[in-house]
Amino acid sequence: MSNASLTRLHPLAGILMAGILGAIIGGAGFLHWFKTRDPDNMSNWIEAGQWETASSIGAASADPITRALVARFGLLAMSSDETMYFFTANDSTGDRLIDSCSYEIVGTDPATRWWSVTLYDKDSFLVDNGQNAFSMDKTRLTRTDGQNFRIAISNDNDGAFENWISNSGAGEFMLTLRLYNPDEAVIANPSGTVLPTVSRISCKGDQA
Amino acid sequence: MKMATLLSWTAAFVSGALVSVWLLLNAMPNVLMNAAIDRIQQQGVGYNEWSPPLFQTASSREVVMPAPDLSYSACIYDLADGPLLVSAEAIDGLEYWSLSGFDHKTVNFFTINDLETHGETAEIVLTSGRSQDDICAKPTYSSPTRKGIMLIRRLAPTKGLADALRSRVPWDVCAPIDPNTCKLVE
Repeated sequence: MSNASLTRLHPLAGILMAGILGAIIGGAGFLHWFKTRDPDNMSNWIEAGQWETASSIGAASADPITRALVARFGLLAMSSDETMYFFTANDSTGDRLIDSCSYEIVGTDPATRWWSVTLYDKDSFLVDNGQNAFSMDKTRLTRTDGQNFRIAISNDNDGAFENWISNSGAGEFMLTLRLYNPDEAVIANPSGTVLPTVSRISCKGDQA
Repeated sequence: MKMATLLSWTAAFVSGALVSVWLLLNAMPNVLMNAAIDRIQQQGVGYNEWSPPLFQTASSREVVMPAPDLSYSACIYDLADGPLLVSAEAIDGLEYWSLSGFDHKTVNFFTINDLETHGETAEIVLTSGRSQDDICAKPTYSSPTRKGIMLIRRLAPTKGLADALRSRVPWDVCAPIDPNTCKLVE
């Protein structure tokens, strides 16, 4: 449509067309953002070490963005007085977690009744790793000195690791740390909660 | 093109984009809840009844981020015909279980866990009414929306516990109740 013909439009028709175009482009942009978003790295979420959470998960008070993202990444998540969910898609140096590298999760038990850490692919589903090694939880964990633990994340185990999660076939992945019935101090101050760290050990192609 | 025309078109474009994003943002929880309900129904589960315990594997697609250490039982509820009696049986040997309700906007409007029931079976009435009064002398929770999902989570991180849950005879209840007679509606 030429500039001359545009100016011949009824003024309201031009405004209407601009509004519809804005709605289409804005909607398409939102849907792309919503589909490709990672659960961590949210500007309005709470940081706890390298993990992120939102106290309003599952709550009626959640803002529309949090509610939509929780529906996308953690539908049917319980509110924070029952369970707190922490997410990370990066290692301790900020690099993206990926299946071509191996990692370790090191720490002590978080202040909660029960906890688990689970590996998910970019679509937030469990990964077909051939070993059913999706997660580790408080009850199955072997501790080095009664307190500290180390969980290996790698493609293979070969019996080398007592605590192991497979990232075989995961591509870029993320970890979710669930704290069931967390202590009051955790609910009141998630950012002050001591959580395990996720560090990269090595990557395929590293110099020996 | 006049400056006033250009400004009005720009304002209309931005307004259209903002309205579109706002509507989609607020629609997403309902859309994704509907999708979850559809996937649960594909397991052969109807409204107002518990599914058998679902254990999460790499092929599970009922909900995102499933916890593989838990068994989930789901009851898709519809309160159109009145309140429901909902119960979750206490099972010995489990370190954690809970019964929780999610409305159609994904709000977790109540949760009861095994500590709160002191190890006893959880038994509640679910209603859509605004009354705070208990029905049939049972703890009564009002769902903010007519439809939603009830969920029982039971901690079963080992094969032994999972097998025990798979083989047990289901006792959990999710069924319409007559608030006058306090009997289940046949």
